[in-house]
Amino acid sequence: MRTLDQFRPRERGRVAHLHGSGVVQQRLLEMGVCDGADVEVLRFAPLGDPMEIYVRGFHLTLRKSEAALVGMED
Amino acid sequence: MPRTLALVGNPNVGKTAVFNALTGLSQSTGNYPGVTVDRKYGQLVLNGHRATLIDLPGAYSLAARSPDEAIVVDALLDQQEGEAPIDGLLVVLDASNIERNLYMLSQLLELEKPIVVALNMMDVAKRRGINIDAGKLSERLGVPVVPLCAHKGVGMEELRAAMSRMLAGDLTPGRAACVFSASQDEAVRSLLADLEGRKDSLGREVLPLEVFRVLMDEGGYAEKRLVRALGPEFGRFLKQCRQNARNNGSSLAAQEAKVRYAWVHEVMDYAVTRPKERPRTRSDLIDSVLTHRVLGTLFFLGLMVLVFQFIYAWAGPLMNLVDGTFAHLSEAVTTVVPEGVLRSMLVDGIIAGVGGVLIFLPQIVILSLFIALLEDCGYMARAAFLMDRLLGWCGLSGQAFIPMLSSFACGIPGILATRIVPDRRDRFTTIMVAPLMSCSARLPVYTIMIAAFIPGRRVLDGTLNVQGLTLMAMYGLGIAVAVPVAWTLKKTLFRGEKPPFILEMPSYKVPQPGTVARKVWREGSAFVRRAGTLIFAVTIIVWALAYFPHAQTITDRFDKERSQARALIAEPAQLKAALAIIDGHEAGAHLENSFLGRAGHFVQPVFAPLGWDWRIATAAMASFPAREVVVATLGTLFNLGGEVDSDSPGLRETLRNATWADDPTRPLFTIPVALSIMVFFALCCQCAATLLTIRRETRQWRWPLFTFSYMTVLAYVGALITYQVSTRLGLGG
Amino acid sequence: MQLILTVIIIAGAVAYVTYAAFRVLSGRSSGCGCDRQECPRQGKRPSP
Repeated sequence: MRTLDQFRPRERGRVAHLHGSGVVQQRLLEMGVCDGADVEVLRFAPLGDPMEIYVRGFHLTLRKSEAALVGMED
Repeated sequence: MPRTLALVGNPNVGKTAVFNALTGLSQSTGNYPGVTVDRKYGQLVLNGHRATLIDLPGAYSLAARSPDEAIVVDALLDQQEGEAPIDGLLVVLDASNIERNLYMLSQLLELEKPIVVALNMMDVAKRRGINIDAGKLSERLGVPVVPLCAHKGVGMEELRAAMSRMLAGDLTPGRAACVFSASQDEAVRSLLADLEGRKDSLGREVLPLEVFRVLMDEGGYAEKRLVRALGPEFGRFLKQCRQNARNNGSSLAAQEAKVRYAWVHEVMDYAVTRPKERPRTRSDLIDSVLTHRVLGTLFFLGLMVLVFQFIYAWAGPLMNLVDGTFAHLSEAVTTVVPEGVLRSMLVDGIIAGVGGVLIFLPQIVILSLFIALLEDCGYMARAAFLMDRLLGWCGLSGQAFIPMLSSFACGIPGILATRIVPDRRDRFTTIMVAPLMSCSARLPVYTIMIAAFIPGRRVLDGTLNVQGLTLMAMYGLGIAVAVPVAWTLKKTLFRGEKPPFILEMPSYKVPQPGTVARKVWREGSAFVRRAGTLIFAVTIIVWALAYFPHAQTITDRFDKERSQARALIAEPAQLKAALAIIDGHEAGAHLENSFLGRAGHFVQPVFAPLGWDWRIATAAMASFPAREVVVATLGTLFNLGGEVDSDSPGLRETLRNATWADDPTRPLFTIPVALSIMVFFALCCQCAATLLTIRRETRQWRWPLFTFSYMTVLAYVGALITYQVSTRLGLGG
Repeated sequence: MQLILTVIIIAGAVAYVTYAAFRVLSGRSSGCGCDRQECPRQGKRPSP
């Protein structure tokens, strides 16, 4: 299963499963990154990290290490 | 009886605009007890019903992790100490971002309080092709929904009408909308029963909704508070309850989000239509440049250069204006007040001191204008996005960038802004290094030194001014030093995991002139106020210490010299010159003999390796309460020392002409001395207000003490290296 | 006359600085120089 951090800019997908626990998981969930959410990767910051995604109608930035917890549907 | 309503919503939904539109000028602020989170109140009168509206901090959900999120939850559950029970909610939703905004609404409905929903930013939603049927939404939610464009004032009448219905008690409370699994309900019930038995040791009752949060938020604020109060045994029981509630499914937090978003989708299918494709907005277009790998970085750097160049270029004429005004004032006082101790206090003390500080008002206004504009248009989140990796190298997150940038205006709002940093270790590290950012109070020190001693040459075909570059270098120094300091702190005192960086990127918007003006006014008026009160008073004291005892023996000695000169020199011009020299020597002798002079001589050896004479050392010590006092003190000291040239009363010229007391041919301020003073003030923490704010935010005296000590050591060592190296490089000649 | 006036002003300044220091230490002012009601930096010291 690929994770969100492996996506390229403009690539779209659907969240299959959210790994991790605690505060990182919580923040992702309340921002709408949960099972079944459609996500589009928009861009990566100039130094390669963090990344910006489009989810549930708004723009969200997160680090690649956090995106690595987001398992995507194949 | 006046009722209490709470204003709730996600961050960046225009809550403040709604609050301002509803309450107008009847606002007041305070702090919640225990934590220093602002609480804002306003008074409402609708149809004869009076109410207090509380503006709660913005939050994304009721799953509290940080103290200021906990305030929202506690206030909503009527558990917040010092807060009246809340009779109803005004929930502001961002219509252009309705999906995620409905998430928290699903939690708010469970509070079973009357709710009015304000659907703000309808214009933006329409532009993006999002159509929301407010009637259907209202029908589905069971609460009134009012479409709004708060910044244009559209829909405010309807909102007032809906709220007066709420105040009249005509609204039924919101209803729980989401259904959770039976095993979760069971777990809540057994926790409730357990807590009922512990009511006495806890000293209060725990509501079902709080218990629900305790259950769902693993490691959250609600859990921590209960475990702290009831001991680890309760923690084990809670763990067991969670295990049962999970029922072998995914984590409870994930289950909650899934249920709530399923409900959100049901509601949206009924009341909202929106385009399938991601709309290409103006914000996207701007972002494709401003967060671009190359262009975005260049823009960021260019912006920083621009800000500092403009501070220099624009402020010049205004500063001359202020300078001129004080020169006239000084002349006027000299003609009106007869020579003596009072005139000396007015001219050498107050006018030279306060005028020397107030002259920097234009620069402070320009800098705070830039910061307010950047904050209000939404660029700060982009700056955090660009800087996160860089800040990551010293162990901080991009969120720390916003407090850091605010610290360029003033360290105090910067330290307060660290409340947005959720992780305690990260937050404390940010607090410790925020005072290293060059705040506006350093600007006077930099400006006077640069204007007097750094040549105004232009480089790169006249596009860049060396003075502007020096100023930028001083700002850069603070940043450059903050990196290793933060890194060391994160490796030692505040060791721990890197906190998350999960941040909404709000759409760009045109800055609201009112908001920007308010922020600039706040900075400017605070500066003037301080110059008019504390600095004014300190100036008088410094003057007094530098004037008295004003020994008669010294006056007599120079009177004798004067009469000798009159007897010996016949030619009037020569006599005048000779008398001026004697006057200067007399003033210098009085100053050296003064209380301050003696104290300065006593400590001067400590500062000698930095190239400072006793007057600079004295001024640096006198500036302990606030950095800009150093400029006022220098003004007073050198004026009293009789070094003032009547043709150019400005401090700039005075400093340029200052010489060592024991060798009048040797200029006191050389480029190395000016640089060492600037470096010292760039790195020191001579600001009582900052130290007290750190005390308040960390709630311990040791952190302000630590900050002051490490910064003073850095400042001394930095100034020492600067002076010694630049002298050896020949800059002193 | 001048000296008396000067001494009064100095005494006033000392009193003001003492008062300001007291306010800051007792937590009634943030010491930022802005004591207006709507100043966001303004606030009471947290209760222990």
